Amino acid sequence: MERITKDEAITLENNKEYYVVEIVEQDEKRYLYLVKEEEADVIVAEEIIEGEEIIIETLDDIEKIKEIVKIVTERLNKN
Amino acid sequence: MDSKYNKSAEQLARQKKQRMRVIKRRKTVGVITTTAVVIALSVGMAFMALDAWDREYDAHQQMLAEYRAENYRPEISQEEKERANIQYYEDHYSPETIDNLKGSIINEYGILIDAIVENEKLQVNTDVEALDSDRLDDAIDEYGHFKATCEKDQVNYATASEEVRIDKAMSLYNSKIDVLEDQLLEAQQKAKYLEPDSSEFLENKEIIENITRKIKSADTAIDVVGDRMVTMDFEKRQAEEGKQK
Repeated sequence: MERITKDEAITLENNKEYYVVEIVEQDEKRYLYLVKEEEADVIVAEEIIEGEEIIIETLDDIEKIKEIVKIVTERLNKN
Repeated sequence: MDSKYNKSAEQLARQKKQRMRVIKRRKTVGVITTTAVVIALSVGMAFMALDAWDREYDAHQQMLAEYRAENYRPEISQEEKERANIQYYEDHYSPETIDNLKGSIINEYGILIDAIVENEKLQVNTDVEALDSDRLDDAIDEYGHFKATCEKDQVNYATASEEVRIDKAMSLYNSKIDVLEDQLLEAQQKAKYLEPDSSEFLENKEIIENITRKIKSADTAIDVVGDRMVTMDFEKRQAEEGKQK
């Protein structure tokens, strides 16, 4: 299964399409920073491979969300 | 910051765990759109501002509680308390200045301290049995810095007015805490990326414990100085009342 990359737009089962703006790899996990343009919506989620499917699981650990947002914002600020 | 980004940041802070399958993928042409990047950055910055505000608010509440506990005196009027609180909000709202709260609030009441005497009492007399060799070294080192600071500024610490000594001592303690807190934050961040129980992790853990101990030591020194200031203010008021009579 090909992992999700930064230059992709993914559609979830709720039929919403998100841009993958950044990916943060930590502790053998991949966290996606996803943006939905129309609603200026951002979610932080972990990418999980299950068989032939890719699942994304949104984070509810506020400390982890803070950590990921900080990393992503720093990266985007540098660009 | 645009309110829609603030709203998105608040939603992000409250997001719940949810699993969803990816049902479709498409490559974007070259790079992600500028709009998406702007949203990503704006929401990220709004989110971090929320976080900074939360931390600032927590620090504010803690310092306010400490101030109230340390400075509670029945003879202070409600008006004075309100004025001090307003002053606090106005002057000490940013994280950089919160550390100076105790010094400036106490100055608000025009209280004086003798930092050197209190420092000696704390580090050498009162607490001598509890001091291990490291802490004693720290205390001597700290006292040396204090004297060096006074000498550099051509202040004779032994004969300087209490106001000058207060100012130097509070400034020294506050800047010391600033530096230590920066070091602590750095070590805590580093700990997140180290393998638990690895030698580097344990070494970092020891560094965190040492810094925490030093911060507590400096905090204690400020507390003692604060207590002394309250006493001196009381004595000063009594003396003034005595003169009036």
